[in-house]
Amino acid sequence: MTPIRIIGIGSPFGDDQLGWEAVEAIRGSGLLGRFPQGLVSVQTCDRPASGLLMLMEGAAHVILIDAMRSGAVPGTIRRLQDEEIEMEAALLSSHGFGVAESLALGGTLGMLPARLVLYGVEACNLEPCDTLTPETAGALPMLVERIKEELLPIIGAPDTI
Amino acid sequence: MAENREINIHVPVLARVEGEGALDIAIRDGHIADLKLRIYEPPRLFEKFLEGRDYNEVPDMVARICGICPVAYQMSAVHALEGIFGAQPGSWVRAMRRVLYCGEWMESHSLHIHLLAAPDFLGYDNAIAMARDYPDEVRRGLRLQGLGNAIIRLFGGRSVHPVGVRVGGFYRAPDQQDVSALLEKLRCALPDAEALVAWTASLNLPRDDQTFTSVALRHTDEYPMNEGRIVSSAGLDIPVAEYQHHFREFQVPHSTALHSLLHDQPYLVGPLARLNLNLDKLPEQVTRAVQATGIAFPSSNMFHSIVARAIEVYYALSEAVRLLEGYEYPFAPYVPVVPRAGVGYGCTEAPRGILWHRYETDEQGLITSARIVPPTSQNQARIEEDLRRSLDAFGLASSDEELRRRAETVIRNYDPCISCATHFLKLAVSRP
Repeated sequence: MTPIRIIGIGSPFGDDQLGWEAVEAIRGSGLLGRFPQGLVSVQTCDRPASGLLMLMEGAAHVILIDAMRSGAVPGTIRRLQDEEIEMEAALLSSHGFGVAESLALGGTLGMLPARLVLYGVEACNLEPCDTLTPETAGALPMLVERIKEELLPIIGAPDTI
Repeated sequence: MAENREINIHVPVLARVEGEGALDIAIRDGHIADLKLRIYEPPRLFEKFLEGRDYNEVPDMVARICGICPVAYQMSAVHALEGIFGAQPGSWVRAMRRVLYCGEWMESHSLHIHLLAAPDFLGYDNAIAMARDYPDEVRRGLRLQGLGNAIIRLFGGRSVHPVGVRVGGFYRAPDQQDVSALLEKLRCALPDAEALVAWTASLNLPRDDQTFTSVALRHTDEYPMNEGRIVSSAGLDIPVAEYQHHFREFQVPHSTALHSLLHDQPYLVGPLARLNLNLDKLPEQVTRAVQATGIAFPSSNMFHSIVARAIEVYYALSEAVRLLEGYEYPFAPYVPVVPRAGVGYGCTEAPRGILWHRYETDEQGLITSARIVPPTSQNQARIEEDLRRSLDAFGLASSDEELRRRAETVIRNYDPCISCATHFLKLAVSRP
């Protein structure tokens, strides 16, 4: 289990596959090969995201990628960090268990990594078995770029591949 | 007090997809005049997506139906297709499928017990609030859930979809080294699982004995997962292929989901039904833990479902340990299959109850028709029946908020697929 983890959260419903597709895009980008072995890994997480805490266990730095619905233009990328996530995702409900709930639970139990970043990409279509819409898929290269810019300075590498 | 009011409770139904599920209750003159539960059902959509697909694509496609029970969908599908093709995957595949299913039961049940059901019985709004006072219990639940997931990942590629399953067996066999490492962790967790049984039994569960028919698989040699006959507490005992002769599915106007009846009556599937019908198939150490609860199973108290889930977590963990202790790297992790035209049936025990599949294939092995009957739709008529009775007994003069909480507790107790939703339960009250 690596100290830095990238976790794509998704479901097979149209743009909600964004998190999984982003993980594939990161795998295909060559980014992971830039790091010493055992430092960075990527994983995917399915509904209802309650497995998220165990996927983050022992990590120091976690980047989550998820589709979001905030009313922004489809494909918009938002970056939230640490407390911002909890504030923005304060959708506590007793009736389901999703990303916001998992993170809140992790906070209560002291199970969150020291540094937690969430990249949200605005989704527009959530139909079963549909693929990503062009708007959301179009955000993938920029998303990979942003994650690259975020992680490469950790090993003092220039952010070009 | 004669009271007329209508309560509409929106139930979140599917991860990230909002607004499809609801509970409508109309109270007139102090009685429930009408009660309708609407649950959105993704499996129906998948039936048509499967048509025209190659049989090899089916395990991957059906795994996507549910984020919590992908293994169950895969298992019912591969058994049905192997039935058509006359494939006999042998004892290694059979044992490993059972291990895989143990992982899914542990994951699904641990999630439901700790994050969804327990807060209801301990008087908390949600698991986060509960975790402040019960951190050790919640951590234990997360560990057991994580171990279930680790078992599934042992056989799969990606952690979310156990894509390692194929018709005829598995794409690859786990390395002995990985099995040994996991086995050690599983053994260490046995006391956790045993303690979980005692903890759920110590909860202040409502006493509410009801008359219902339990339906589950039953196998001569083992607690049922992948194989067996469909039996009921009312004496039904049929092969899986005869399901349609006894169970009737029909569309109710208020729901997109189909309701199911057994001989025109509601029935229960899931952990409590399974345990009620298969108590004699538990191994000795699990039976001792069941006896220590002081609960007399078979139980007619629906709220004992949470204890039944905990017992099945303990059982699944013990069973996975037993099977993996005898692990040997196989000569081949699957048997080749030769497609042919035919009709096949598969019925396995998903965490929430029996999941029945029927497929028709052509000579090339292309799917010409698919039918999937998930446990939640089978329980729907039973949930409505329970709600009418429970809310009546609870007191219809209670406030909307109190009724909503009670209704939620009753619905949640069945662990319907809606549990994996991420959205709010919204309440809108209209008073005529």
